[in-house]
Amino acid sequence: MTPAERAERKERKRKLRELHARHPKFFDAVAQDAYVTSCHRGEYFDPNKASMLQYASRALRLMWSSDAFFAHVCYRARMRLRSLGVPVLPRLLHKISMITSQLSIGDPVVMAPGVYIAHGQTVIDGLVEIGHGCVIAPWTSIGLVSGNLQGPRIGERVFVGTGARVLGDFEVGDDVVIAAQAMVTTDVPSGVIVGGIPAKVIGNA
Amino acid sequence: MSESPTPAEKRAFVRSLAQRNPGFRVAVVEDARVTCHQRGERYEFRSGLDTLFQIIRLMWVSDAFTAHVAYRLRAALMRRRVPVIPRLLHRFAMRSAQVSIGPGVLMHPGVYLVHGQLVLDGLVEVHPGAVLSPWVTVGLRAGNVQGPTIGPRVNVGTGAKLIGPITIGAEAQIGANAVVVSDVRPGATVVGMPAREVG
Repeated sequence: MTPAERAERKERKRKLRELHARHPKFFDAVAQDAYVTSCHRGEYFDPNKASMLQYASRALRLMWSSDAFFAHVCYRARMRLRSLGVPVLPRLLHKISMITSQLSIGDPVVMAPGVYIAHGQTVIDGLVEIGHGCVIAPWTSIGLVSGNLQGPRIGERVFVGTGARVLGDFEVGDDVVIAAQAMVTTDVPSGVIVGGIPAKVIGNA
Repeated sequence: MSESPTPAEKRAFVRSLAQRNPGFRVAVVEDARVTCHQRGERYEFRSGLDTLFQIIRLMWVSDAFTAHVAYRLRAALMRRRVPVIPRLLHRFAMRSAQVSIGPGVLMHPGVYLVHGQLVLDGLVEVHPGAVLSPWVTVGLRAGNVQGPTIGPRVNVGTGAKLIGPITIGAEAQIGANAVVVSDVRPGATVVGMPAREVG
């Protein structure tokens, strides 16, 4: 291995560590996810009054009753273990989340606490950021176009409809609704509805 | 009016399909090479041992490669007329990465499945260097068992549907969510529903 190659490898490892440091803490993330998932399932509870135990029982119940929550928790655990530098286990958790809900979320993805994944069946990969309160419907892909590792940065409370594709290096604002089967390839301003192939603004959210 | 084929003829036909499958070792090595290349990793393997190591590594780190190897094993076993096990391997491929590839599909060595989650069925042919993204369906139109032929180094975008007896030319690009129901010229880029050529 040449010194240049070694330096490059070191640099890549450093970047990966930086990326992993941005992942939320496991308990925070799961508590927020449980809260957002509950709200979207019409089982609202007051986050300020709920105790640790109530959060835990919520999360356990959701793992049983919600299609993708178990896989989602596996993903959270995996990212936490990744950032702690634990070997082997993260990859196993990834396989479990793929088998249980077809949820495939890549290592470089940074998902803020409090995301609702409706049924699973989702592929997310690349340098993608997903904000708090997003809802991800089944059969969606969020990721890359070939030749660029930078994926989309999705704002808060965005709804990604069934079968939507959000691919490439751009930004999606807050409170956006991405319609079913839409293919988003350019920046989307906050507070609009986009739909179609390629996606155009079709209304205000 | 032609008579419908007898069960024996049907069996012979299915067997003749299985005979076209590539050998296990050739296929997996070539798949590993293409997968490494597409993942931006070293794709020239130094020795037999290195190749084996890379294959095992890919099965661990790549989402769909385990399923892909299971499919290759299944195809090779079907060629040797081994019973039962191919069906089990198919179930395993579906479980591990939702890869469902029918027995009539001829996949040449050197195909990259990005994350899995795809359905290929019917008399489909996939040439080397093709990249199949997640949520892709390659299949049939009602009443015709002839499916698409996908040329070499074709890039099929996520969620694209390729339906019916069509030919996709070499190095064509199929956009995400495109529904392709007619032939595509080599090197063309198609998007939309139904897919039209752009650029």
